[in-house]
Amino acid sequence: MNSQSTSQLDRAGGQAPAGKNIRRKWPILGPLTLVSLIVFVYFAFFFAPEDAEQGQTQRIFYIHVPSAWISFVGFAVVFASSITYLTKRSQKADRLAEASATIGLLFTTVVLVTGMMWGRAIWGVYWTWDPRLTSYLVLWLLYLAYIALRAYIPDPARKARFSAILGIIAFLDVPIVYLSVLWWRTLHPHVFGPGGGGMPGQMLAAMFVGLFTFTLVFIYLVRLRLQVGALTDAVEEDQS
Amino acid sequence: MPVPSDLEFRQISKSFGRNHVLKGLDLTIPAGSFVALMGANGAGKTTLLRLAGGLAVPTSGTVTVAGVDMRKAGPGLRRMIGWVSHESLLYADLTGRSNLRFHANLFGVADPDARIAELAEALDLHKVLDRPAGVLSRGNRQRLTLARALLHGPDILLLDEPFTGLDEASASRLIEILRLLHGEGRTIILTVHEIARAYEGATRLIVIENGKVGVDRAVVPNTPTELAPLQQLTTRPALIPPPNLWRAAGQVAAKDLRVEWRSRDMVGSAGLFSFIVLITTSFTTPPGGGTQGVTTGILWISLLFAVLLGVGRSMGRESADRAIEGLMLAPTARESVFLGKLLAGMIMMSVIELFVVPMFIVLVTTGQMTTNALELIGTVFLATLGLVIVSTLFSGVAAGSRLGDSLLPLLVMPLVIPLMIAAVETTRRALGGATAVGAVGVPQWIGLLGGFDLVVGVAAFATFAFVMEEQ
Repeated sequence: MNSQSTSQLDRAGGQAPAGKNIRRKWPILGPLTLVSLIVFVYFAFFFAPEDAEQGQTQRIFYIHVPSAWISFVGFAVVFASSITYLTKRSQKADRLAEASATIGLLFTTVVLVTGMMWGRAIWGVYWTWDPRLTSYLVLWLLYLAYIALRAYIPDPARKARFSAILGIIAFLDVPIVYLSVLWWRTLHPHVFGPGGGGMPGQMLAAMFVGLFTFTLVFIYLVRLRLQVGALTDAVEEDQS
Repeated sequence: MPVPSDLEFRQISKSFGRNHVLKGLDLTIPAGSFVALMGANGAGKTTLLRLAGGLAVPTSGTVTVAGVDMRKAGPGLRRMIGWVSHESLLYADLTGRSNLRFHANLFGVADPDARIAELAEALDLHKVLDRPAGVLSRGNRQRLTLARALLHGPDILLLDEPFTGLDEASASRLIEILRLLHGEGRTIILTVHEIARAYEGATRLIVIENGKVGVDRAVVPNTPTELAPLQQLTTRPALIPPPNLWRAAGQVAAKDLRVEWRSRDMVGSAGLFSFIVLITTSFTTPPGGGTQGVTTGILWISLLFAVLLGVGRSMGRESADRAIEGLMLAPTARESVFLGKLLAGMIMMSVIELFVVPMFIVLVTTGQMTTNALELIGTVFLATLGLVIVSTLFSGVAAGSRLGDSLLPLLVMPLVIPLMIAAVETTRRALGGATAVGAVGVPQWIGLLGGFDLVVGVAAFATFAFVMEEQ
């Protein structure tokens, strides 16, 4: 049984050009991401000074903001891949959309959880219906709807086609969601612009290192997801 | 040089996930052929026929009709095809005549009533024309289905297991009709299970094996059995250009409204549902809530559910008896189905709202009648339009999922959150609710509703053809 599985996996590995190509393309990505993560931990937890008002709690910000950035990047990739799929019927584009949505959902969850932790420490409540938290909750629901839709359509071509439609409409919906909840109520601290400036240079540096690192982590995880997908396909193809 | 209805499959592959049904199939069927397609279950007979009918698209390869690639051709090419399967593609709630008239209009038949009369004569449909399609016997429904496929006088008639469920007399009658049509020079391609059927009229037998043509040989059809004399089928009806996008949308909307008029499904069940939600949930709010708090939210939740229920039901009717395929076969832009369903959905929701919104004002906002009618009507119209746009698009998507209609709320609700916020806020204010200092004004909220409708409406219109590509 074991040897059979191993041989199938070996053959699958040999028949998974997509997975192999991705691996060959950026061999430096894994080590670079790891180094960047170490640098990020140093910047976020040691290099950046403790906030005078919020204390150590403020450090959540270095995970929260880059995760929020990635959740948007993920959604933008889903949008672009969806258009590519519908116009060119590229299977790669569909796989990229799926991988980005999965990783995007993960980071949107991180945004919500870190936001709630910070909210509890600073505002005294886990949840408040402020525009940004609410927007991210809706974004999270949209990601969830996208992944649920994929889960409930067995035929891959139809799955790709229908989820691409949702990927496009949901992306266009995001700015309208943001505007509507912004008008609805406002409580969230502004990071940039009026009232949000004045962040010390070291804190800004930690945030930018975070943005860079999380982007690398996103690319790394998407690549990993694509590889797993390609290998799964190869194994199942082999078994069918 | 190809004759008008030459049908050609070039290097056709079709996969459903890891199930590779057709694997590089090549086949040419000249005009005037009578072909019987055979093969084991799952061999790809139906798939091949669906590709020829434009009901499916190949994974790779091209299907050409009269030398024109089906994927690149405009919808007009579909007028060359007539499609019959064991599903009727008819609306069960409509009469046979009403079904035929709808399809005749979509296909650009110049005089639908005269054509229906001709076919009724030829196919002996007089007794079934004015009865709802849903109550007809299998044999009668199949004759009505054949009439639907012959309305526009197609050059190529595709029949997918047309004998399923027919008794011997009806099956023999169908064979005789097919022989007549073949005699008139039409191309007939049918899939059959029993080899005896293949010899009853076909002049060529093709067996699909391992995703390719396994056997392809000429056959000599049996001598026809003695049947009661059958009226000669009229060869070609007079045709006018098929309806354009807007006219076709009007036809679809009118059909939806006719179905609704007979079944009262949407206005009845969705309207009643909306009303009951409104009444029940008003017991869950403190008395004297007025227009503040959650009361306007209740109105919009009830309307949202009415839209989900009604639009989901409307698409459900298209899935029954594969009626949606009747729309996919029509030589009109498939976006017309979106516009038609949108229009019908809006009309039906307006009827529901004419009842539910005043009820809400009377029952829930007791005594607070400082209603700004213009703002209220504008809000209700724009928010309902947005809800119907999103639900219409995704009802087609949900219909193709394992969960069916139950997936619809999961897809629609996150998308319409901005609509719900704007609708609740403007409705509350239009009904005299207080406005906080510095709050965004009603015109901006109405602008947001309009912006949502425009952005999502254009995107839904642009992507709807992909929903209809293969159902």
